[in-house]
Amino acid sequence: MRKLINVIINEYVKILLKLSTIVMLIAVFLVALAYNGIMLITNRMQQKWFINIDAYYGTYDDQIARLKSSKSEGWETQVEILTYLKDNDIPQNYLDDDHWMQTAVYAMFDKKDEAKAFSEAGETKKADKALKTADEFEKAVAARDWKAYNRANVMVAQANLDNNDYSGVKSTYWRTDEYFEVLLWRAQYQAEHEIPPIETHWKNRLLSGVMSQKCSLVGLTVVPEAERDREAIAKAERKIMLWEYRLENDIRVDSSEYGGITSQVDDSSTSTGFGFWRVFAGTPRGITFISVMIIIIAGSVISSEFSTGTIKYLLVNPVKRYKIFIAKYVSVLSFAFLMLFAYYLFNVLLSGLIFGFDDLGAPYLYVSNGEVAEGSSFLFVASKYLIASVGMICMATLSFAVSSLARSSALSIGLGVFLYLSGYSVAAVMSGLDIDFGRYIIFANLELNEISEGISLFKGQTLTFAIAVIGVYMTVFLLTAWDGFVRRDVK
Amino acid sequence: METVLKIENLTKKFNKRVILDNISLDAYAGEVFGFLGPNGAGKTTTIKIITGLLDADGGKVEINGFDVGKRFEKAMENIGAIVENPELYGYMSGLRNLRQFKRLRNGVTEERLMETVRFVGLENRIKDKVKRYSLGMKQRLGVAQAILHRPRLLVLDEPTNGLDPAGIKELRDILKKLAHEDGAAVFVSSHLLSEMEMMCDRVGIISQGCLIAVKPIKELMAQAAGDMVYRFTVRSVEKALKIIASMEEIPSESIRESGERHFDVCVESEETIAQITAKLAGAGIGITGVAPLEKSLEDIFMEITGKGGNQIA
Repeated sequence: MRKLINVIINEYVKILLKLSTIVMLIAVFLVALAYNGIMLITNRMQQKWFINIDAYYGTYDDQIARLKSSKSEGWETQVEILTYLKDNDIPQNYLDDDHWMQTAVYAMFDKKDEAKAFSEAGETKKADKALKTADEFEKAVAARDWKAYNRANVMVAQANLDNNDYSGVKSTYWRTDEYFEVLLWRAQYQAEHEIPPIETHWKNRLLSGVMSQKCSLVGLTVVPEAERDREAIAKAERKIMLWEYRLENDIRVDSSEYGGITSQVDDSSTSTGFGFWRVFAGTPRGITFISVMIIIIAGSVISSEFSTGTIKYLLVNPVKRYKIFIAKYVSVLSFAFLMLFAYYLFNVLLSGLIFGFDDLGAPYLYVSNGEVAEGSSFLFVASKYLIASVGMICMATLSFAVSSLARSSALSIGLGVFLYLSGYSVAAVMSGLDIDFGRYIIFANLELNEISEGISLFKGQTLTFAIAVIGVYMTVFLLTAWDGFVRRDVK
Repeated sequence: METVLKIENLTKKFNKRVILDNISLDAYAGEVFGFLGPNGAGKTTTIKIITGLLDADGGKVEINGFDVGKRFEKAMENIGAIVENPELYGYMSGLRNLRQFKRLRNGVTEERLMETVRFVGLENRIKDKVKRYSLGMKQRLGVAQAILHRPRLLVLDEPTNGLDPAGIKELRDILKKLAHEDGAAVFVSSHLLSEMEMMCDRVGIISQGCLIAVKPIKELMAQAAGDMVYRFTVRSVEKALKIIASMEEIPSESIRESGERHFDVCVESEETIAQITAKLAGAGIGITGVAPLEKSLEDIFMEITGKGGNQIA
């Protein structure tokens, strides 16, 4: 055992002292740097785009002048509103935290119109209520009090439900009541939980998300029970559960938003922009570069000893050949995982430095037995890393086997890297041509992430099947490598 | 004498072609054993079987009593080797190379490692990368890795290949010291008799996979010296030959014209050479050179095999 460990140490020394390894290491970390950099630039560019759109509208005075010259329909009312906005110094940038005030002013004028319509129709009670609501909006704006605005919104939603109409127009929608109930729920929730009516506020966004999911649930359950899309319903219900849980527990960031083993959420409207987890959860893509590096090392760890002639000096030691074989394979594998780990830590550090470490404690939310549970986000990303490394390990083993059998670095590295990069396409082509035995090709089984979600190249490919196929291939690769190294003469 | 290396009935075939045919020999502690034979005779194959790089098809090799095939690790603990060229990891320093071997062998301390470095005279360059070493330095580093763990048996395959004369002498001294002072058995292969003569105590001669003879180097040299050939360089070969033909003690078949300016004479004793020289000088033939010709390995094979079965080991 001590000898085995010493051989592994020797292999590590050999791997790490090679110039090619150092160059590759630098390349891998440059890739991580580039990925984070691109994310940062994308983020900045998005913000710039939003800020520029602000200049598009012009000031209130500009807008009033435009309306006066065009005299388009209803321009008088528009001018009245704009003048009110101008007189009360209401900011107009819709990314601004005070943007709700503009909405409130519009709502106020709406309600005033409504009141007029009701009183003309002789419904004094409703007219009074509408006027009162308009008054509430006006007070909220005057006091710059968004909580009062939230409460006024509840009144609007209640009135809509009671009247079963919207803005004075009798609705002809089917099952409008249920929709209005959802809207009322939202307004009440926002008021009760004091969620700021700010467009960009995460809670507000999340609440909008829950509302839209509830609305789509109403639509999904319209059809008779037997015809319902159960999958879509389950998906919507899961989203509602997760998002409500986040609102209740004040969880701003949930890493499961950024793709999972079983992707639960794909609605990006609720995600919180380019935060730490969004960027960090995207880093498994860079594992391709580590994979190529590991395949190169695996393909040369045996054959380079033959090409330089050092194999004779390696084998003339009091260590049995099979121990050297095991040590070489273990070294490659452990080096691969060390690289993944280093890459993982490096990305935590890099994404943290660029996007902030504030969200580090964010959980990974999932539904288990009908309840929301919190998992570790770090483990979640780690699992993404591991799944992304399955293909790497298989192709590194293939490269190792070819290297042991042919004793040629060029062949083993070339074959390993080529198959790693093109194998999936081969399987995809076979799938496209309906060649069914393609399912027994290893490349059709390496995307465990998708297969576990039920997405596969061939019909009825399960996770168990994929793992079994991978197991068979790995056994063949390793036996071939063993035979080539342990049993054959060194000429 | 303690037997360190024991080879018994060793046979090896590559695709039915017999490379080694029933070879048996022993090498003892404290001696340098020369394994002599032309290129392609099976020297490297034998060494590769001794070091476990190849498996034998028949027979066995024991090192310090341990069968290489059956108790590989025990046998290898007692062996140090340079097979073919001293190829070590060029991208590492000499020291790192030696540490690679240190980790795989028992009981090598850092002090022993530095002692070995000093022994082969590499202390000034040991931290340089091996790819910057000259061939002689690589050979010395090869020796260092081979003797690191004080093996009972040292096996070297054509160790003087490519070395300059100074390097050869250095290596020769190192090997002699290891055998005669430290009591190791040194097993050296070569295709040059002259080299073996200066280095070895005993030699085994191999030709086409068969071991022809095993005998002390002195005995072999004496046998080879039984008939001596001298080359005379003279102003006029024609006149000289006439004079020699008149000498009764020299049979005509022992004289051979070998060029425009020289001829060879085969004699049984050096006395005859003195007589010829005196006679030629007396007759006024200008002698510009008299030199003994070294016999080729092939000549010796011919002699040993030609002089009957009693000489074959």
